[in-house]
Amino acid sequence: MAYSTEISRRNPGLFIFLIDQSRSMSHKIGGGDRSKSQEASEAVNRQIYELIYRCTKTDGVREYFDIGIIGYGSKPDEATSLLGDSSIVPISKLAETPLRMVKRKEKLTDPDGNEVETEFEFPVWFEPVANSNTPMVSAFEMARTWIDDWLAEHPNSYPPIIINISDGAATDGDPLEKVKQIMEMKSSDGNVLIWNCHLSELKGASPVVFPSSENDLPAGDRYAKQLFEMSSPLPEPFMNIAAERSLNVSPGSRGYVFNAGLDELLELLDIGTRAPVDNLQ
Amino acid sequence: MKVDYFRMSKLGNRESDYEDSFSYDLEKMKFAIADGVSNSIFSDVWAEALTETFVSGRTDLFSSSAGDIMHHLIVEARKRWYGSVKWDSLPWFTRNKAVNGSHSTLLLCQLRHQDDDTLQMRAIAVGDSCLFKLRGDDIIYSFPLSDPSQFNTTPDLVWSGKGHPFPVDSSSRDPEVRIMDGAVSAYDRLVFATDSISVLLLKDAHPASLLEQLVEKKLSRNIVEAIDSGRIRNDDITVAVVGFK
Repeated sequence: MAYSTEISRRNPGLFIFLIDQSRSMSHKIGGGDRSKSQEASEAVNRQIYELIYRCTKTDGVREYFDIGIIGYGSKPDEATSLLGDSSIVPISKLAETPLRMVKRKEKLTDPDGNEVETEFEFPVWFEPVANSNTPMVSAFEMARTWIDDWLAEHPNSYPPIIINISDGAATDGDPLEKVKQIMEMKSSDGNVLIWNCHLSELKGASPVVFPSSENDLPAGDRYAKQLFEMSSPLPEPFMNIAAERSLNVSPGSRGYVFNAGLDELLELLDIGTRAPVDNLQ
Repeated sequence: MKVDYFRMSKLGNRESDYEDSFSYDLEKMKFAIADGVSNSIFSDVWAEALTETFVSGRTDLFSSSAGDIMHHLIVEARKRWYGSVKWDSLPWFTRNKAVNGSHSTLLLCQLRHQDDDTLQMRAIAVGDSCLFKLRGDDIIYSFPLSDPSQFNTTPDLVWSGKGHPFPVDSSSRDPEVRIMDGAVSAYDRLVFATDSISVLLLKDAHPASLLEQLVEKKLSRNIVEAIDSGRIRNDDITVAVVGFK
């Protein structure tokens, strides 16, 4: 069965996060108080934290995953790595090199109900930015070259996963052709997977989660249809996880959320990363 | 009485990644096996704290109820576990995870003389580490699980309780304990095994031959084949054989 390879230090997994940094990302997310760029950056930073948490063992952070983060639109027509000069970085290196640490106090309770207020340090690897246009094609091209190099070194690993978070159409062309090229790339365990999350700023917008047909999307919305085509069908392990969460998935459901608020963004990130995490050695 | 044992790390892992523990004291006739859970951190330290605390301490399985024994053992083992971790110098990723504590299965066994030919045995268990009584090539019984279908990925576990900044004397949670009484003679062998090798012993038509390969000849070929063919999970392997002749 595809998407079943055990993830180990010898056969790590790869996540690449694509973050839209266009000006419209400064608008508030639908139903929320903070901007789409703030919510997207916090959600991705938090998801990387969760991955590090799962990889942390007595001897430190095991290199079960490689991570890449690409921002697009902080400058006109430009996509860049958000991890400084690095492209893809082993998760252990990410753990040791956050941009900054944020201290937060949380109350923890033991089984007797005794509470201890504890100061936790949470890492931040990149900051929210909302500046320019939406060079999504450039971002996918950058991801394609990274994945090409990575697969040459890891031909038998769990297939790479791209998670793209955006609020608007590409301004540098049609990303579909580039995305199709990437979807045809594969390891011995299956094709590269692409998840898309479209963030909404409309209050009361109806999110469409993991649609299985274009008919599930708003009629006549070409952008919604394009993102549908740019999203991979959910392989069985991901379908099972979504079904366990009582989400309405059916054969052909795509890794795609349209008109997402914060809850849907977090759900996509969680489900999109969960199946590989369940395959950790 | 003689003990032979075999251990190996999960395939693909380093030897230092091994998270099981087996302890014994032949004079006290006490044995303990534990399987630290890899999802939590310092589980290797916790597994060893549990088995060593039982074997080296004064805990007597024949003295009181299984629930009381387990409660007091966890309190003592927690002190050993807590004292083994250098809480002040942990990096953020280790500190944030370690506060949630460690988990392990645990099986304790103690023998005492019943008459000239027989030893009385008592075992208590949490989770899926198993004790087998073998006579010749036959498994007379296994405890607490006796069928491969009973093993899964969510066994009952012994929890260390919270880590720092909770104090060492803060509480854990008492797990559900299973108890078994039995007897062994000179013709018997007792086998202590963590879950994957327990499954293989229950599935194998000739468990005695398998044990001979492992604990006497130290040959892991059968284990590797069983993992590669999907008969057992890829996991740390610990198996110990106690003979009475």
